[in-house]
Amino acid sequence: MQSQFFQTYFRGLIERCVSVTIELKNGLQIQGQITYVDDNLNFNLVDPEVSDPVKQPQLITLKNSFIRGSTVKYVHIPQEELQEEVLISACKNEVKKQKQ
Amino acid sequence: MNCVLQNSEERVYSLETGVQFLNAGLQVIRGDTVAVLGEVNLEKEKSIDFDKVKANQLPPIFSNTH
Repeated sequence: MQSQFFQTYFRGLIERCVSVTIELKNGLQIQGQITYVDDNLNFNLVDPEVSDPVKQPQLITLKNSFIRGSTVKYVHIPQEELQEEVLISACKNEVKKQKQ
Repeated sequence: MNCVLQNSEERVYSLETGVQFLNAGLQVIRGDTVAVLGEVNLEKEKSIDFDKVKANQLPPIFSNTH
């Protein structure tokens, strides 16, 4: 059973309308606001923008995009929206749960 | 999440020539090979001169062992 924590955490980002950058496993970076996230950490973004539209123009005309969770390498979250303490305490709780 | 595309076209990006459009008809795409799926902004698409767009292909997401 996979932890629901990250999904809950991303739901928080959706509520606060945070703009994030999602980096795919091939290095392509897509910036946008998350509108949806599910169990598999698939994301929906509105107004996605690629980081380098000149070198990688393939996705510049998209209005919105669904990104398959399995292709995501990183989600870059702005420092001021990170909520580091929340992440740290949740990870500690996970470890405790696993030990039990 | 498998999908079926009708009237599809494949876009081939290269550094030598502009974007090539290949008619790909109806396709059944297995969900596990999908990376990004999105709605296209047709107005923005019309404003782009694809003959002049030159770019490398995106690097692969899936390794050969996939």
